[in-house]
Order: sequence, then C-alpha cells, then structure tokens
Amino acid sequence: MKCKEIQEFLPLFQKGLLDPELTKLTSDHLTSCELCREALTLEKRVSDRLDTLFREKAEGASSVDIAEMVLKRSHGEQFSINHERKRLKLVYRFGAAAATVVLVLWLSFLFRQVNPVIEIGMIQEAPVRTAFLPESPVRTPKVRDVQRKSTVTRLKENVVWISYTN
Amino acid sequence: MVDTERLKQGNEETFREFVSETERLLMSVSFGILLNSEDARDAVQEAYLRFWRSRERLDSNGYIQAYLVQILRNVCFTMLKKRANTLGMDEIPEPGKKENPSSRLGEKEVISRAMAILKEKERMIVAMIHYENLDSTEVGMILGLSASTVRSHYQSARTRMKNYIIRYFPEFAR
Repeated sequence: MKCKEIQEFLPLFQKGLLDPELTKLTSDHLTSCELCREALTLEKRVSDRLDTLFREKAEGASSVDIAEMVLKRSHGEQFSINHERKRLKLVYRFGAAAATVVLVLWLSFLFRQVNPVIEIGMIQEAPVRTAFLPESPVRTPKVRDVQRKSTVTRLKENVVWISYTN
Repeated sequence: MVDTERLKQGNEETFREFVSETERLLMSVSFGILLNSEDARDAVQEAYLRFWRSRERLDSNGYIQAYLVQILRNVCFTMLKKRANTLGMDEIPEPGKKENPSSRLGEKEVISRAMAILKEKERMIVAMIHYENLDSTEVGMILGLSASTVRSHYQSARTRMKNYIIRYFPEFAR
C-alpha cells in the first residue's frame, strides 16, 4: 500500500477506529516508513490538542448546575402561564357578566310594556279598555283615581293618554 | 441509564440524574458546532429546556440521547443562523493568504481555527470522538448514521484539518 493511502488512515488508526485488517497493514507499514511515522506524530499532536480543547470546554459545563437552571426556568414559565390563565379567566368572567346584563336589558326593552298597573285602575271605566289593555300581566291594580272622571285616548298599542276631569 | 417512564412523568430527580449523565456530551457537541463556550452553554441549557417541555412525547423504546442531541442540533443551527458565522469567521485566513508569521497563535487557537473550516456535522463527530471517546457505532446511533459513514466523515475532517494546519500554520506541523 502506498504512503498516501496509509496516511489517510492515520486519524482512524490513531483513534482505534480502523478495522483490524487495515490496522495490521498500517501498523506493518509504519514500522518500515519514516515519512508515515512523522505524519503519525502530527496526527497524534492534533488529536491530543483536540482532546484537551474539548475536555476544557465540556468541563466548563459542570461549573453550572444546568438541571437546576432548566427546572427553575420551566417553573417560571409554568408560573407565568398559570398567571396568564387566571387573568384570562377573570376577563372571561367579567365579559360574561357584562354580556348577561346587556342581554337582560335588551330583552326587557324588547318586551317592555306600558305601565299597565296604573292605567288598569285608571281606565277601568273607560269604554276603550278592552281594545288596548294587555291581556296577560294581570297584576293587582293599584286603583287610583278610579272614581275620577277621565277620558282615555289610545295613542299607540299599549300607550294611552288619560285626561282627568276634576 | 435513566428511566424514560419516570422522565415522561416529570420526575425532577430523574431529570437531574439524566442531565449529569449527558451534559458533558452535550457541551462538547454544542461547542463542536458553535466553537464558542458562552453560546455553547446557552444552547445546552435551551436544549434541555426544550427536552423537558416535550418530555411527554418521549419514545420509551427510543434512544433518548439521540433525541436530545437532535434538539441540541436544532438549537445550535438556529443560533448559527442568527449570528451567520461561527467563531468570527473573519478571523480565519482567506484561502491563498498566508498567515502572518509575526502573529503566532497558541496551539489551542490553531486547532480552533482548523475546526472552524469543518462542516457542522463533521465538527459534531470530531467532538464526540475526542471528548467522549465514543466509537463510530455509538456516534452513529446518536446522529442516525451508519458507523462507516461516521468513520468516513471523521477521516475526511481530520485530513482537511491537517492540510489546513500544514498550509497556514506550518510552525505547528514542525
């Protein structure tokens, strides 16, 4: 085998990654070739420096407790996620309450009725009573001025104009 | 080896054990890719954080270290994209331009510069073989490559490093 081929195997040979057959070939060649032995010396030097470089850098990691830092960051994130969820829950609750109030107001506006209570009493004697009185809200009439003489004019459905005569 | 099931359940003690088992491997791979200690440490921390967040998706039958290294690679590549360069590539001599002999560098610096000319995958392989003394099969398992591919990458990386050193730092080669 030529020196050039052998020298290509040297990094693997020197790290013990070469297969046994090629290892033997390389080893045999090295015993008889000064040039390749010199090349191996350089490879070993590069390899040693690489070992040192990585050892120093990797050992720098153990000076910091990575697990604790990661768990702390993870807890911190969990805390802010929970905090955000609570905040959102409050916003949703407030929104739901406001929506309910608006809905109730809107419905009451839709189904509003002209105050039938007083009018019932007041217009009991009026001839147009049955024409405009709402049928359902039969509440106890607070009869006021029933005895008073009045005239009733229907303005709209459920809206009457009552004029009294003293 | 740590218990994957306990990790999945979020057992913090198991996680601490897992970190102490793997942090050196991760640090050397991270440094291999980024060639900067500060960035390497940040990347390792970020990788563990992502791993911890996604622990529920761990495959009980899978090789967790491979999964972890994959996360680290993604983190490192994102960092590389952000800074667009490693180890101040402007400091690396341009091809054809001889290093000024008056600015003699230390051997460690020469090796760092030689590492910087390699591709990221080659640097990872060099890192794992040199720091952890892993063999090509173990490196292959972690990176999802065959042992022969790992050997081939390693061989080519070392040859390029040697040629670079001989060309630009002949005093180191003497």
